[in-house]
Amino acid sequence: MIGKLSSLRWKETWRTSVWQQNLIVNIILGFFMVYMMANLLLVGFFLDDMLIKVVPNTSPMAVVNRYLIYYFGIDLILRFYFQNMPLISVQPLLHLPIRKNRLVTYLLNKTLPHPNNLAPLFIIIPFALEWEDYAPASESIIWLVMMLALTLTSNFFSIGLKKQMGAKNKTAAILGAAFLLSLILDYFGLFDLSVYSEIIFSAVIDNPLLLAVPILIAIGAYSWCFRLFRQALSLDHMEIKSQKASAESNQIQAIRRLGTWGELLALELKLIWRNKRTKSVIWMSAFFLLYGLIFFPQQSYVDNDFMIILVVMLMNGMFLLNYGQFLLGWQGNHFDALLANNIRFKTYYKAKFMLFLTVTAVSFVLTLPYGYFGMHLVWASFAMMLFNIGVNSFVIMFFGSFNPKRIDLSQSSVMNWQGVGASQFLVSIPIMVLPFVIYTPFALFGTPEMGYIALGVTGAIGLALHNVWLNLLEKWLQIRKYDIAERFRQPD
Amino acid sequence: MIEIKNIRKNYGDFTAVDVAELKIPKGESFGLVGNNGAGKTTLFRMLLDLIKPTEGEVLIKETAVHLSEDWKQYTGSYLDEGFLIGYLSPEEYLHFIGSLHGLSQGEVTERILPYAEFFNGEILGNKKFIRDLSKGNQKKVGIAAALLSEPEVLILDEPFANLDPSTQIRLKNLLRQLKEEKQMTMLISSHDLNHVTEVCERVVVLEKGLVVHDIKTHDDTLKELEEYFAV
Repeated sequence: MIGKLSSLRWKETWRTSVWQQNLIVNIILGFFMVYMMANLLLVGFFLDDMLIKVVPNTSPMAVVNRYLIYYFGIDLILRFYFQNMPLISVQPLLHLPIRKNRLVTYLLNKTLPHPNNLAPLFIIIPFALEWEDYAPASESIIWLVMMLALTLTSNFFSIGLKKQMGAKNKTAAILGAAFLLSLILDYFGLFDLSVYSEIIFSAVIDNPLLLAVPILIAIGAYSWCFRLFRQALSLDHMEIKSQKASAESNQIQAIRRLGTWGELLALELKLIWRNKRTKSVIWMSAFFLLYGLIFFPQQSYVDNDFMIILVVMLMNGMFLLNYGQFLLGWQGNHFDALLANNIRFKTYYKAKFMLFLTVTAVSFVLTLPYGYFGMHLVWASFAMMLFNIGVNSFVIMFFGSFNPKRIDLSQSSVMNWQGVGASQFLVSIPIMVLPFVIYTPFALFGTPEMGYIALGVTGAIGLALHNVWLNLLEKWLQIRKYDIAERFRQPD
Repeated sequence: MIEIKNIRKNYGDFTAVDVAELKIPKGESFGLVGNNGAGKTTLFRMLLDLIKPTEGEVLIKETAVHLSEDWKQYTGSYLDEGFLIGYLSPEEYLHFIGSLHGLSQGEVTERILPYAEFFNGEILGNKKFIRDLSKGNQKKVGIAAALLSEPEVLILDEPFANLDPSTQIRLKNLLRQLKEEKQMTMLISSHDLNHVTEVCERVVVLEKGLVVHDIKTHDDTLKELEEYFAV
C-alpha cells in the first residue's frame, strides 16, 4: 500500500505542469535551483568564518544560537505563505479501501520534501560539520539533531496552524506583529530575546539530556497535526470555499459607461481583483515601486545613467511586464466567449492599452518622491513612462500573441510556473532592450538629457499613433486567433 | 440562412469533419446527432469561426463567417464552459453580453425576468461567481446569455446534457416557442434522441465527420434513429 501511494505521489509531482514544459524552461529552472543550492552551501560552509569576522572573540555557535529564535520566527511566517497542505489531493482516495490513518500519514509525509524543509539543510549540515573545528563532535551532532527536530516542528506547527486558523493573512499578520514587537523591544533595550535564545539553545548543547525537549516538541507537533487532519478527512472539509460575489463598485460602473472598451476594461479589472494569481501580480508590481530604494540612496547609482534607466523602467513597467507576458493567457479560459461574441479585436486591445496606460501613469505618480534623490530621476521616469505607454505596451501586446498558454487563475502565483514557457522569457527581452537602443546613442554622443528626450519623444510618437498600432494588432489577431484559441482549448 | 460549402477539417491525417453541402433555411430548427467524436462540436466551432476549416467555407446570410464579423450581431451561441467568464456573477455576465449587443442595464434586467422559472431561483441574486455554480446551472447561464439578444440564429451544443428534468422540459418548450414566435433559426446538437426529435424539424446524423442521414422529422424518426444507433 505504501508503495502504491508513493508511486502516486511521484506521478503527482512529475506530472504537474511545472515539469511538463519545454526543455529550455526546465533547463533554466534547473540552473536556477543549482545556483540557489550552491549559494546555500557556500553560506553553510563559510558561516563560521564570517561570524568570526563580524563578531570577534565569541564562538560562532554562540552567535548562531543567539539568533536562532528569530530564524524560527521568520521561518514560521514564511511557511504561512509558501507552504500548503493539499488536503484535496486525497479526495479521489477517500472512498477506496485505504485506512484513513494511512491517508493522513501520506499527507503529512508529503509536506516533508518541500523547499522550506530542504533549503535549511544546505546550511545546517555544513555548519554542523564546520563546528568540529571549535568543539567536540558530539556537540555538533546534538546541535544538528536539535535543528532537525525544530525544523520539523516548524513544518507541522505551521501546517496545523494554517488548518486551524483558516484566515491565513490574519494569522500571519499576528505572527508578524509579534515578531516586530520583539524587534522593537530589543531595539530599545527593554527585552532582549537573543539573550534568552542563546541561553535556551546553549543549554541543550551543554546538557544532552535536554535534547529530549525539542524531540518531544516535534513529536507533539506531528501528533497535533495528525489529529487535526484525521478529523478533517471528509469531503465537507475539502470543498474550496467559494468567494461571495460582491456588488459592482461605482467606479467600475462608471468605467462600463465608456462604451464597449469600457466594458472590456471593467471585465479585465474584475479579472485582476477576483483571482489570486492576478492579484499577486498587482502586489508584486506595487512592491517593485520600492525597488529604487535599493539603489538611489547610493550616490554612485544616482550618477550612473544606464542604471537609472534600468531601475526606472522596472519600477514603471513592472505591471506591464508581469501582466503583459500572459496577456491573452489570463483570459484563456473564456477566449472562445470573446471570439464568438460581438467584440472587435481593436476594442479588445484598446481596453488592454488603456489598462497599461493608467497603471503606468499611476506608477509614475507614485514614484515621484524619488525626486528627493535628484530631479533628473523624475525626468528619466517621465521619459520612461512615455516610452512604456507609447512603445512597450504595444510591443508586449504584439509578442503576447505568440505561443500563449492558458493560465490557471485560481492558483496563487508564489512559485507558480504554470503557463510559463520560453516565449514568456523572450517577451521581456525586447521590453528591456528597446529603451537602451533609443537611449544609448544620444547619451553616448550627447548628454543623458538628450537620451531622456529621445525616449520621451519616441514614446509620445507611439502614443499619438496608437490607433495605427491598434488596427495592426487587430489584423494580426484575426490571423492568429484560430491557433491561439486551439491552444487554450487544450487541457494542461 | 446558413450554408456550408465543402467544409473539411483535418487534424494531421485524421479528418474530423467532411461535409459536402448543407443548407439551413431561415426559421428551421436543425438537430445534429452523433456519437462522441463524430465531429458535432468541431462543425459548430467552424460555424462560429472559432476553428479555421482546412477547406471550404461557412456562409451566414451569404457572407463568409471568416471574412466579415457581421454575423456576430445576430447570432447567439453557447457551446461549452469556454463561453462563460468564471469570475463574474451570473448577472454581471448577462449584463456584459447584453452590453455587447447595445442593450442597456434596464433592458437586460427586463429580458432576464422571464428566465426566473428557468433558473429555478438558484442563479440570480445568489452572490455566487459562475465558477462556483454547478455544471447544470452554468449551462443555464450560458443558454440564457445566448438567447439574451433575441438572435436570428441560435447555436447550442448539447443544451440538454447536465440539466435537471424540469429544466429540460422548460427548455424544450422555450425553444419551440422561439421558433414559432420569432422564426429563430436554431442549430442544436444532442446525444439525446428523444429531445432532438421533439424540438427539431430536421435531424442530421454525423458519423466520423460525415453526414450519414438527413431526415425531416416525422412520427417514426425516433424509431429510425434508435435503430441506426443500436449496436
